[in-house]
Amino acid sequence: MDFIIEEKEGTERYSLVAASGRLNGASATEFKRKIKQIVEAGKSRLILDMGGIVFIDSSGLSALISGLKCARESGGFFRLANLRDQPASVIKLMMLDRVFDIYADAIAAKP
Amino acid sequence: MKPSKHRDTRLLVSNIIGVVACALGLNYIIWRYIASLNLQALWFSIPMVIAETYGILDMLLFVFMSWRKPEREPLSPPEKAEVDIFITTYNEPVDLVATTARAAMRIDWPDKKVYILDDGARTSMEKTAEEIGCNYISRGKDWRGKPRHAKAGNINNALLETSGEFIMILDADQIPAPTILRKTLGFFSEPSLAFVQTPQYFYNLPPGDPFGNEASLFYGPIQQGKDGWNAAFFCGSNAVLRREALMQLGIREYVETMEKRERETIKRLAKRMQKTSCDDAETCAAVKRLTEGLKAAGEALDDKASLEHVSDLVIEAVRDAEFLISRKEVSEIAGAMNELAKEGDTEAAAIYRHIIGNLDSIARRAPSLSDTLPLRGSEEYLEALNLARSEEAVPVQALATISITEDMATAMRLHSLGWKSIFYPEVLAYGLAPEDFGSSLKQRLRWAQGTVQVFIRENPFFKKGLSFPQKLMYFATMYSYFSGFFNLVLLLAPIIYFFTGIAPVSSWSVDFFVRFIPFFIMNKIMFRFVASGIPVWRGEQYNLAMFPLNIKAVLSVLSGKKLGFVVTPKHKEEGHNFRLIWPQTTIIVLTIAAVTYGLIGFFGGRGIPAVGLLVNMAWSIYNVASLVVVVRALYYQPPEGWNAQLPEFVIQTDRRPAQDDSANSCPAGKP
Repeated sequence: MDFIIEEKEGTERYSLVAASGRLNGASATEFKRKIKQIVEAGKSRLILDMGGIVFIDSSGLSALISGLKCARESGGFFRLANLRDQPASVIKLMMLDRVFDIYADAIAAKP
Repeated sequence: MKPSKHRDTRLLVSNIIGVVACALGLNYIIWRYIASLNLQALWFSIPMVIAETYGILDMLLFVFMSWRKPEREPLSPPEKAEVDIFITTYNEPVDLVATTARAAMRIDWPDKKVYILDDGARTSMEKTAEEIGCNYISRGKDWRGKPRHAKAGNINNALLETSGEFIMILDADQIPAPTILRKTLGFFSEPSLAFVQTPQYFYNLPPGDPFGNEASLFYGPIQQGKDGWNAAFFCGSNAVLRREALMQLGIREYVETMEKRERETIKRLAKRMQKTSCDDAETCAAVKRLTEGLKAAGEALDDKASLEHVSDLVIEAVRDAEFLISRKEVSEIAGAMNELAKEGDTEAAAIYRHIIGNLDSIARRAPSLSDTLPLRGSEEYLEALNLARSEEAVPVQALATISITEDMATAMRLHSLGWKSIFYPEVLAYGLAPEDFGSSLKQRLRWAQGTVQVFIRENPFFKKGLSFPQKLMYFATMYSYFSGFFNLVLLLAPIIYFFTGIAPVSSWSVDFFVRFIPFFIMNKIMFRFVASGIPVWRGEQYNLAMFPLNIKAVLSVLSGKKLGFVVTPKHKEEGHNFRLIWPQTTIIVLTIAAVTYGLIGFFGGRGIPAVGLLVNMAWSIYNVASLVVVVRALYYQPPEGWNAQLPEFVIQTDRRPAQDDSANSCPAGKP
């Protein structure tokens, strides 16, 4: 399995979602579907633990933006945490650090 | 001589001719300004010299563009690359799309997926896609009630539903050759290459190309010249693009738009706060809280904090302010209950006690009724701060949507991000040109409007990241669509001369001829040399004759009216609509009348000098010879028995059911 995404922890104040593998064109749809499902279940305050994501491309970034859209439209947030080097540098290159709230790890991201 | 050596020599000669033509042109125009303006009639001589200057600048840009022509030989393609082939359609006949889709399925590349992107969401199209064995995408429910952005929106939608590393875009009528991917994918070994554009070739042009649709000048010397400056244009079809480049473009655009919008929203709200007056302590406190929150958010934005964080600062301030107002309102209700309680209403007394006991929590939950402050209920700020781009169906829009011709804006944005492009001049797809004059004009108008739109909204000279030659290449194309005004002056000049005797030059002297004639001849030679065998006269005729259309395009964009994307008709529209050519006809009639009047005057012994007569007669003949092209086009009938011929490879390999072989000779729906 190339890509896994699951909800780790759900409290009233936030839900922790962990993803691992390659977030690219092939897995972007799955990612978006899962996030949408979580938000539709009433959990829109999301922290995405990206510690397992080894690679991300533009389609993956676009999926992150869709996640952000989904969460914020429901009045929540979409925080990124625990980024590896490749995703961190791509996010910076594309100036998405201008958009997302990024934290060193999931604990720091908790509200 | 080796072919490449021959090419080098040819280019050298072409450049020398170009330089000479430019020198002669400058020599002429400078003389026009400093020594030959008709000072007695500035109302005439100034527009005239400006029109001439326009032409000279056009020539300079053309020579610069033609300066180098890279040799493009296909490189060996990568061993493995996933390619998504998008066939875009809106309302074209299902049969026509099917022919293209079948040809796409036969493209020689193992790792490909063919998608029909049907903006018409037709069940018949979906069924045909299934029969052919290709995929079918139409817009989902996310798009309901949102701007659709025509073809760009159609492709942006499909980009998010597919995942191939490369994308080939084909218009519904563009039948690809089986080799198209093998010949183009190799170029992508250059990692910063964003797209390869190949020519659009029309297999249904009637003999003599009456509508001037022949595009081999553009998809030849012009695109090759632009390619020489890493500024080949993406033309919306027959191109292979790198998905990563497109997505990057979309994400950049998203970030920039969101940042700009957030800044504007904060500014607007802050301004509104400044204007808000307050009468009581609670409202004043709320206004203060909001004002402070907005200030903090603005500062955070300047400090490059994340937009999510900035949004949250505003949202928190709004929540707090709303709480303050709400609490005041709830207290007022409590006060009213207390009044009733004093009069002995026990129920009111109970409510009063409940409210006072839980004031804060009730206030937190109760939505504020106030409309003096921009609070949570006001959509304008929510829309802007949720980073969701809710007014759009998809937040990330890779293909530019600012223009009704999305291709040029997209290519320019890619170039400005440092991506490269290639124009590969071999014809690898065969499409349909409009088959009647009216449709052809609609297509021209759309291109003209789209190009002018990009010029206004994303002027290449102010676009960061483009090299100066790239700016010039984009500008040159945009500039050419402003020609209508100047051509009108050139068309009116001989008419004015014959009727009034007033000339735009101070005298038709030897000085004029020794400067003008060499320039004029050299200019024509240069153009023909660069075109290297491609007929140019039809193009020159249309360049002059399209003055009403180009003027209309510029004015319609400047007036700010919303422009619709018109799908170019792929079938013949019947009837001759004279309204399409009344401006040109008027000029022709006026010119003939003016020449007649001039001749009668000359032989009757009135004023006009013989040289003036001859120059203006020659000029008039040139004008009329150019303009008649539209009259001919309007009344054009293809010769008896003529039919568009599909390219050989389609006829040979198209295994269509026997009862349906009509499309082999006439996919445009011609009988």
